[in-house]
Amino acid sequence: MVRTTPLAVLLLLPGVVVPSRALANCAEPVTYQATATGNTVTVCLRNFGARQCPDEGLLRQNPAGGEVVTLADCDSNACFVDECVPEGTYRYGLKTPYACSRSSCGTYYFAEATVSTPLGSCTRTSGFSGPTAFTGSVPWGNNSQICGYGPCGCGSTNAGAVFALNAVALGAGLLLRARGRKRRSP
Amino acid sequence: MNALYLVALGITLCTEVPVVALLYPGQRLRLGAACAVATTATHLTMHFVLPGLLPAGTSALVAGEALALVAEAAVYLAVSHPHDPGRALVASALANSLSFGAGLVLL
Repeated sequence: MVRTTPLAVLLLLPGVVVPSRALANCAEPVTYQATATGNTVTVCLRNFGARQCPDEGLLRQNPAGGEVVTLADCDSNACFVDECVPEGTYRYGLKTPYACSRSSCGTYYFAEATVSTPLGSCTRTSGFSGPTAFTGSVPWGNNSQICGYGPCGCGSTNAGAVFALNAVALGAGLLLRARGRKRRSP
Repeated sequence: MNALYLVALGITLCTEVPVVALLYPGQRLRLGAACAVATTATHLTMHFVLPGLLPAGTSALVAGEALALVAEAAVYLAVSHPHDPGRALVASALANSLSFGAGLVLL
């Protein structure tokens, strides 16, 4: 097992010289899944904090025209339902955005959905109130990302900690092996 | 399931399984299989369970890697013959370091 020591050093070296983000081990993004079917857009929340429709409301922004509305209709899967949406591309995001999730591959303000079907006559599902006008400001600009994996500097700090942890375990393992051999030899 | 997650899992398995198998001559198939199962379980836990359990500000990455290190070493210790805690720790630490380093470089 002593032969593995040079290999071990070689394998642990990247942790010292490569201070980049450890994306292989980040959790899935905190975001939205927006699906357009005809003139209906369904927006499901993807997060670890159990946030779901209606939350404090979902905003739909038309980036071209600037119109913003609030949505609060939910389906049986606790996803937001936006019916009778005119043709166009829209941004859907929570009125109170997600908090940055440092372990996720990314945390996002909004997701986009494109409605390609011209709006003809449209009847809302019974019980759905539809969108209401929103007069405030959307909490995002043109960048959909709230944060990436690990805030500034913390990604490399965490990577260093992981390598250090493994180095300690490796050392402990080699020590145990060496002691085992000493006990066995006459 | 998120495509990036599947790529990350693939990289993890492709790096860790051969390393663990290499370190257990005569038991390569058994330990390789144990590695595949244990690594998948810890990987899933780390990405989909742990972030929701940890207090705000806690690094799920460091906590998850520590969990994976200990849990995987325990599996190798249990599955291998003879039961050698030193070898199990070395195998777990080497395999995890390699897959972590691969992630830094490839993703």
